[in-house]
Amino acid sequence: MSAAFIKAASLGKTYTINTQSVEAIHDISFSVDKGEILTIMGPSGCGKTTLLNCLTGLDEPSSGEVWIDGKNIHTMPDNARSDYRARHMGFVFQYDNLLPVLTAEENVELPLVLTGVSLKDARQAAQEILARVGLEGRGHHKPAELSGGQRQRVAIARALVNKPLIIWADEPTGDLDDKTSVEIVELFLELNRTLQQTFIIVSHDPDLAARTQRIIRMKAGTIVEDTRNS
Amino acid sequence: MFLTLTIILLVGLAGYLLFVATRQRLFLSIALRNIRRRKATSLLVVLGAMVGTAMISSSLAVGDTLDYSIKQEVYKRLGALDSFVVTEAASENASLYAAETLEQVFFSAEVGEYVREQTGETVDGVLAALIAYVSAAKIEEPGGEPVLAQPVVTLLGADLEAYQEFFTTQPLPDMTTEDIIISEKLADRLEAGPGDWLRFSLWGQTKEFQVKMVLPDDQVPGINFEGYTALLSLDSVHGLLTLFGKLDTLIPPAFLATVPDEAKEYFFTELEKTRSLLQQLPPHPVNMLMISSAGSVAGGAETSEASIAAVKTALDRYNTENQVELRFRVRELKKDAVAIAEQAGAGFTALFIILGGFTIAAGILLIVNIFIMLAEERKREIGILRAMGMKRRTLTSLFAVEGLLYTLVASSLGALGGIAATWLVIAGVQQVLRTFSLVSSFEIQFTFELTSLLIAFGAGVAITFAAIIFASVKLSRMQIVHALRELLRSQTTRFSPRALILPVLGFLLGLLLCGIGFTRSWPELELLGPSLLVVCIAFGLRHWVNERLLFSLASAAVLAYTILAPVYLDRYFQGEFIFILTGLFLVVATVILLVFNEVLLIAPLSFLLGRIRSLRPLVRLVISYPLSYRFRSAMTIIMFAVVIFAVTIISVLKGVQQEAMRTQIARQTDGYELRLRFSQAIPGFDLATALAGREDVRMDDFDRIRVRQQVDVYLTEEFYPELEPMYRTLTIVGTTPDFIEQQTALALRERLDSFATDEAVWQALEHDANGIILGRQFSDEEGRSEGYLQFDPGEEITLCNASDKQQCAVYTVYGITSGWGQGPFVSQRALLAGIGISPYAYKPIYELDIADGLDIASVARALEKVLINEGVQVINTMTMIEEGMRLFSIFLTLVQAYLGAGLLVGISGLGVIMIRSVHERRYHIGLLRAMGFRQGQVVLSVFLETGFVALLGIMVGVGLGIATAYIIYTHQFTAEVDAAASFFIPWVELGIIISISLVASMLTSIWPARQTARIVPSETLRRAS
Repeated sequence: MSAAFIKAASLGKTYTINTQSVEAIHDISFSVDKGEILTIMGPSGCGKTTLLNCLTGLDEPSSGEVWIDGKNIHTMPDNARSDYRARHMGFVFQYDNLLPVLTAEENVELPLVLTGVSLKDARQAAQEILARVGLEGRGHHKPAELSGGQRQRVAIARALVNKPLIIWADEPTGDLDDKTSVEIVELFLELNRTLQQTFIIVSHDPDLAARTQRIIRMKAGTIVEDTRNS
Repeated sequence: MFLTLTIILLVGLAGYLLFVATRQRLFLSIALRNIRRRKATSLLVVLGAMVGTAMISSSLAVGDTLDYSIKQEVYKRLGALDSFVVTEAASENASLYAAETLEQVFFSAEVGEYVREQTGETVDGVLAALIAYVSAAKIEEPGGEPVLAQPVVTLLGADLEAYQEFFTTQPLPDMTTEDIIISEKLADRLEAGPGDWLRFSLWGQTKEFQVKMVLPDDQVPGINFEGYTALLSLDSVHGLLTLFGKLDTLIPPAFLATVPDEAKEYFFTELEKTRSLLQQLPPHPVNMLMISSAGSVAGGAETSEASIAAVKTALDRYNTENQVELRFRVRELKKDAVAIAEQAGAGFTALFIILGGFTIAAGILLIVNIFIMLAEERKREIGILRAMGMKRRTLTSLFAVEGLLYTLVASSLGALGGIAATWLVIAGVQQVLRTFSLVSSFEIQFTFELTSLLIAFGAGVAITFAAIIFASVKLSRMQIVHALRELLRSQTTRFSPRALILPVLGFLLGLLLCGIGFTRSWPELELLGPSLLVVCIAFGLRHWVNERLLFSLASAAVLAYTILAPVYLDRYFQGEFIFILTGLFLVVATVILLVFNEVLLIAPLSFLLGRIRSLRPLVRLVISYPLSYRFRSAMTIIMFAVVIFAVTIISVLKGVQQEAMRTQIARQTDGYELRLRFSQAIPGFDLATALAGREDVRMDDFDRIRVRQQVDVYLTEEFYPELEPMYRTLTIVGTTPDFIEQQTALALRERLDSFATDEAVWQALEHDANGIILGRQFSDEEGRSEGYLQFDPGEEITLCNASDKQQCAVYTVYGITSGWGQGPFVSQRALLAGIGISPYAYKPIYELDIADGLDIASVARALEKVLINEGVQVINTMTMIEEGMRLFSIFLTLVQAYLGAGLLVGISGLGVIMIRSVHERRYHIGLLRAMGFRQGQVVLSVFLETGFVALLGIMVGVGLGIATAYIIYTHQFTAEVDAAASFFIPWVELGIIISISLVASMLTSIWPARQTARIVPSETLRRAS
């Protein structure tokens, strides 16, 4: 249908709360190229996370379509969509990204094991990616034993370990101090450069947004500005 | 004592509630709102807490019911009869009518009148009675063939006017010498009613009577507990006495004609002796005074002490006034029986409380678990309250108030629920028992005492509230920041000397318990003391030593001590609560060892599940969640394992016991299904002659016949001055070469060193003139039967002729049998040579092996009819044994069902915990779904996690249960029945229990799994952020 890697067409999502309908997003259309790194910005409650959930297939839009790499993800059966997420998407959330009962290494291994990689290979890949995000030797620690920045690095390592086509990040630096936020952003940019993965980041942070290739600004459920950084 | 404690507790709680309602109204308000806000959870807490109380109230109700039912049975059987008087000679002799003691057994009926006059208000009535035991048969018409027979019937001859005075409320009819009144039980047995004819027989002589009336059982005092009683006037029984000669040893001429010539000398001697003694009897002889104490049927037991004292005084006075030396013995009857009833009731209560202890423990763990989970869910709320300045103590109070509300509701409902459950079970048991001839007449009547209800409520409140206080204290210790940030668990805390207070106090307590336990041989404390020492050392050192290492070592030490200690210390099985304590210690130690060493679990499970590719991603989740919440998981696994542990032990021991019984029975009966017991010596009796010409039962009906000849001998005061009178008469089996040849199955547990084999002992018994083999009741071992003399092989016993106590001889103990109640065995030759016992003095016991294909019960009935005149009792050994085994099996199944209630707690508790777990981890489930986990995989992980926890509990419970059962087996069964019981594990039964538990546990996760399936990832992720 389109050459764009990700394409949202007339996306809308309406919630019903106590018989009242609330339109979280409406008529959103845009496309993203492969290997692009962009930020979705906007004030609280403008619909950023709703848009992200609809784009990833975690939530069903009330109207419109989402095409990723030529596939309409909302027409896929639930299991196929789960498999697609497991193989081609990585997620980084604001906090509590990790399963507290697993070690850092086990958290990172999980997406690989999910896609059928042997435990031995998964362990090796997890160690490599943890080293790459600067957590060499910290793999045996549980999330509670790591700092906020370290936990977020583990989450990024987990999002990247199965070499996904797209990384979705919802406020990845929202819970971090400035210094750690900068480190995380640098990591995103480096990975985008070296691995050519597509990054879609939802953030309030203008500094982070300024360093990405493109900024989509939202307000009251719609896109009000779509600009490319030079 | 329990009631007083309960009242103190309830008064204390009422005071606390009053304090809360007036001074801590805010807490009460918060508690009530929390309960309203979480209705489903509150319901679960109440249900969990109900179980413990229900177990206690049902145990008490079982005790009340049995106590009441047995007492009612006693009242029904004894009626107004509270005690009785017989002569000392009658009291000491197993054979009431032994010729030598004849004049000492009977006394004049005027003694009764004298006692009645002298005793005044303490005694309601005295009935002089003549008791005889005869056989009875219903006949179609006078002189007709017997239709139905009852081999032993108590014939009660008494002055009917006196009888009417205090034994019956119904007016008795005028009676001729051919009329008889029978008890309801005898009427039922013979299907006889007014107008029917009965024939009474004793030793070939018969007399026929017409039934005039059937009296309710509670108005016919039963001297023996069989209750087959016939009531006649005293004159009628005197007439019978004359007819029957001297009941036991007087031989009627017609019968004498059948006695072989060589035996006649013996019988003539006995006959002459008896005739001369009969002439010495007082006019209107009686052999018993039946005493009814002042008060009602039930109240008589309470006043019998005073009445017995009055009767004894009156009897002494009679001797003085009449210048005679009649030696009487007054025997308590009702009071003793009532005491036995109370003992049985208390025993069953204790048994069920001990068994229910595991369920109660499971219930407590469930309450603690649910309460801690509830509070963990409210971590933020706790953090905010603590941040606002609320003290730990106040926080504990806040939870305690909420807990108290749950406790009061749960304990009330639990106490009532337990009673209701018992009512249902008793109704079921009553139905089942009706199918057993052994106990069919015993009616279990459901009842409970209000005090039991109150005690159960009080105990429930105490247990539940203690569990909730424990949970509250644990929660209040949560660090504020951790609570606010809802961290998984507390981080390492700084050492404070205060943390050592409890371990040190616990250690000192442990030392004290050890001191008391080991010096006073108190098994519970011997187990508790050392274990407490180890646990306190571990808690004391935990700030300096790695927790995992410390608790692993501590739990391994407790485990080893608990499982090894009983092997070395036999007295461990003497403690009442040692069973439950051992179970709890073993399970807790094992589970702690496992949760601190997860690698022991992860490796095998990963190996198993990891082989299935689709399950591989789930393995780690399934294991990691339970192991990360160590306290909660440990509690859940323990909750499950303790109940499975108890069920396993009962299953294994049930199997071993049944196997032991089967083996023992097979050895003892050796395939002989019927036993003919003669109530009198029938010299020269020959079964083939008795059955000649019969169509309904023939000699061909028997494959094998074995005869055991028994005779009474006496242990005199001269040789055994300390022996209780009731143990002086010994019934000996007189062996013959034929008997020895057949006696292949009776193993000996001890024998003289000079004999190489058991067979050699039996052969020597036959050839030597002074050998005796004793039953195990005479063995010199701990736990032997009270009252019996003790012997080791090689020691000597002096036996005397019961009819002529001057004839005594010394016999050497050659061996002691493995089984209880067997023997003693002496050769007939040795008895004749030593103490002059004629071969014709023996009462035979015939054992019959019925030919294949014949109905044993039909043959038994036919034999009973044919041999009714000989007073033969036909005992269907196999039916009795089978019924006994079925009864035993049903009892154990009931016990298992009782424990099954605990399993229900474990299973439903697991379900509850999984529901809470899923609720807690909604966000993480959303995260997993975002990562690409399919809905089915997440749901499956919930099932697998439940299964993993349940399986762990099952494996721990089954493993430890089998190990403990083996220890019990090696200490109890091998000692009790020697090699009769071989240890085996009933895998099929265990497999069924395991499967049901596992499947039921998995089923309980349907609800949480459905919750999981409904989780929309985007919503849970959004809510979290």
